[in-house]
Amino acid sequence: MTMTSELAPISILDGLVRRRQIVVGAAAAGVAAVFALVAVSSLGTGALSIPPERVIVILAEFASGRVDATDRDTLVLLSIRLPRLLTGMLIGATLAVGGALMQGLFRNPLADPGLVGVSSGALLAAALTIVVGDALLARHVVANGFVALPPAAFAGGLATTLLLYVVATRRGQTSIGTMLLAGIAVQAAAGAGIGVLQYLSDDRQLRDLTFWTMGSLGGSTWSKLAIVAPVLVACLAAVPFLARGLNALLLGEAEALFMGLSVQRIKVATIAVVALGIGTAVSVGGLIGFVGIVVPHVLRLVVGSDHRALLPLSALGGAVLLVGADTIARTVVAPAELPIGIVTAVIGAPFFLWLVSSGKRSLG
Amino acid sequence: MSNPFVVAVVDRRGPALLLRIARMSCATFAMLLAAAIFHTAVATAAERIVSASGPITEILWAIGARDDVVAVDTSSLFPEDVLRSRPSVGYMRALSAEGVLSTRPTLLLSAEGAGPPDVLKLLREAGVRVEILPDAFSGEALAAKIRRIGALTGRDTRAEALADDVERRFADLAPLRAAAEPRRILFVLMLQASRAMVGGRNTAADAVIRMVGGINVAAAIDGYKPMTEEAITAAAPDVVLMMVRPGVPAPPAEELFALPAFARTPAAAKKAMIAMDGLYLVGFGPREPEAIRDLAEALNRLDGSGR
Amino acid sequence: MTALLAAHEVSRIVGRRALVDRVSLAIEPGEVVVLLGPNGAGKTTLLRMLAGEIRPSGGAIAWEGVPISDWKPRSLAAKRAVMSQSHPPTFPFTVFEVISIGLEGIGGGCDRRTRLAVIEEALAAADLVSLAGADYGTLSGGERQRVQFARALAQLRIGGRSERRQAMFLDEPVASLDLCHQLALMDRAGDLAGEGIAVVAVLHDLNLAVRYADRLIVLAEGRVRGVGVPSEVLSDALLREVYRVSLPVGGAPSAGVPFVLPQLHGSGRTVGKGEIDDEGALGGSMGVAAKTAV
Repeated sequence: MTMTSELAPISILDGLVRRRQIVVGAAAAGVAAVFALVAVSSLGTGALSIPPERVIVILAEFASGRVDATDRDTLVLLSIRLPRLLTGMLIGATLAVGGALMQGLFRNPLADPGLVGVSSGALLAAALTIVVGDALLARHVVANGFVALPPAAFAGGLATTLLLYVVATRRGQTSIGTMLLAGIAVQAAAGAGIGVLQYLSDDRQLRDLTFWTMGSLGGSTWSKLAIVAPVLVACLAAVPFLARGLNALLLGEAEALFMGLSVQRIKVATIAVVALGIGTAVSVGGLIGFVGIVVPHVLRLVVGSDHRALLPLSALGGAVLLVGADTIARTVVAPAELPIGIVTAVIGAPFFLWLVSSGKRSLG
Repeated sequence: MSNPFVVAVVDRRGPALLLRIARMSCATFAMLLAAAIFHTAVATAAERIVSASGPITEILWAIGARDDVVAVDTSSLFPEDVLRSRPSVGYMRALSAEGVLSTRPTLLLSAEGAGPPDVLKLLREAGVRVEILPDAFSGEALAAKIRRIGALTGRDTRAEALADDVERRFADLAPLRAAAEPRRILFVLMLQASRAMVGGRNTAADAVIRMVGGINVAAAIDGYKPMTEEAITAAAPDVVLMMVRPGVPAPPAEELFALPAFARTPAAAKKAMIAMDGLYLVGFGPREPEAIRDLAEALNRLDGSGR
Repeated sequence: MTALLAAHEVSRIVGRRALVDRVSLAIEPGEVVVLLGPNGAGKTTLLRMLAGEIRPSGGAIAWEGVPISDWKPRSLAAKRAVMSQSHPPTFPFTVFEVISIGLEGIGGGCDRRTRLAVIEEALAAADLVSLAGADYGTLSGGERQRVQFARALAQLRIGGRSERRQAMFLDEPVASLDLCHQLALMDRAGDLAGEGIAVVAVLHDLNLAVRYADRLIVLAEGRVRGVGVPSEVLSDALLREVYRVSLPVGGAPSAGVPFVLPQLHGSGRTVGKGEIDDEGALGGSMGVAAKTAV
């Protein structure tokens, strides 16, 4: 058990570090390339076919500020597809990163942002708005119901997260285990509330609620993006700062404490970022599942669990998945549209089953 | 004071100028005439209509505008070949802006509740005329709707003819109403598990029930809403009117009256259930008077078999 | 000179049970202190309180005379490292990554070279050089424990750049290790003590404890039952009271039963089988009791 000095260990470690850097770099380059491809093709694809040359011309006009607002192709590209692409990128990135953050926090590869209560709260608030708000706002234009929906969903999501946090935090320490259990209880309660609302709703409200739970990027406009983008960008920007803390948490809460980190601060920051980000994403796009589980899982197989690489790559990967899914949603039954939650489920579920059954190592 | 034109007429050589004026007038007239013709041609031949409502689609077909219709929605089920021959823009409350625009429409016609509102706004910005027509619950309202659609699509004459015809056929229903016994009728839109969605007041179903001289037992409810089991039993309908989709067979009456909510109604004793195509009966399209007549006959048959 | 680490009447009460009951002790640099006792004696609870993970229900703990609650987490992390019991892996990290993460808290100010050198020393000390790139999840229980030791050691080394007096806490460090690695790890702990680092270890194995401890603290039902040098603390009476066994301390086993004495490890003696050397002790590191005990 003496020092094996003849092996020159530092060069081995150096080799390990370099090899890792190459793997992460290659993965990043790969995902970025796919992302560019998916983004560009999503701009050029849709129910209305616009030839690529036309797309380039219109984008050039947009860049130079000389836009022909009456041209139909221009309108579709700049007022429909472009905000939709940007919204999809941001929401996809947030969903995937949210999933990765939750998996790090709960130390479980199956954790998803719903565990923090955001989705159930948002869904309950949406159901309330659709079913009851309709009656309250009957005097006004129907459009008011749609305008009230995103803020209501956002508020509902945050409220449930706050409730869960309060329940799980004693004497300044948040127990993740308690949060998990309380989250299950809250989900059940919200489900009961939604069930009641569904029972009371009429045909039209029921359909509206069902469509909302299946998710859609169809309502993406520049004005919505202007409200949503700053929040999502801020959340995504905060994420790299959480990486080191989450790495340490993976070794155990006690261990992280012994290492000199403020475990409570890491937990609170992570929960806050997830609640804000996912709450915003859900309020605009409805419930879109599987992105938060599939993307981090796949990336973990390539770059491991180091959050410094996993989180940024998950953001890119999530953007790719959602923009790709949206392109499919917009074209497969054109001129109608599939709700995007269906596409992510159809892609995500079999793929996840295959991953799990082929016995890859990362589930531990 | 001095009008140059008059000066020109007076001062210049009269005949030559007159000739010039005549030429100008002819040219102007010719231009105006051409514009008028061209405009009409644009309005009719180049009209591309998206119809996002089943009854509106029926009306468009009936006034001969079918060639102008480029896309329909999921509720446009009559005539039967419509959905097969036209692309579908989906459910009318969840339209896709790009999807609708890809059919390069000039006009979108739909009923109340079409949406989402952001999409309608985008379509208007794209230069598409978006017309939302109020639901019609009477012969007069239907006729007005038909005339409006005629005006919007440049088929005023055919629409006028159809509207008159519809009004007449509705008027012919009056004796039916007068002769009918007031029966207690419950209109069921759909049955989901054991929950029944019924037609209350302010619905097409309510109007239809009144037109056959019946009493809508669900009139305490506003709109299409679920009704509790006790309320259904307490309402004590003599007849249950069930809505079905075209092509879908009606559920057997035994099944309906096996449900606890319906088992204890007067209708159960005679298995008094009538199933009819929803678009036909409560769509309030041009076939509405026939549908009401069919309903009246079905009610009479029920009475006959009961005695 | 204030004690490196001092505990005064420290208690931990959960519900109505006192897991630790008014324990007082002091730890000085360079000594190996072993906490001994049967299951449920409160050894691990006491260790976790001394390390700063659990807050005592009563009493006071102070590092360098400063109450533990006044210490900033990062400063405390430079002062002491804890090797906890092995955890089941949930995510794929390499051994190198696990140790590297261990430096997240206090390794911020170091350059890459220094960090790598520290990690390299830690790997070598735990005999893990060949496993540096291995997936932590594929390791055996014993290998994982060695990784945890290496991680704690690496943290200690980084902390040593700013703190002169340090302590290493070992919570059942040899539970899954084979004999060779058990002795090697405890040797490393002894070396650390030789450098001036205080080592506080919870051990189950009496013999191992006796071999390596400068001081023993025997606990039972949360209370201290004996403190001091092993030869003074361990007695037949203590074994009977605390461990509830009737075994002679220091007596030879009966004829024909093989026995192993870790106490003789490192002593360099190689008395043959069955022979009895001058001092009347039975031979070598392994022996068979002689038929005749002279």
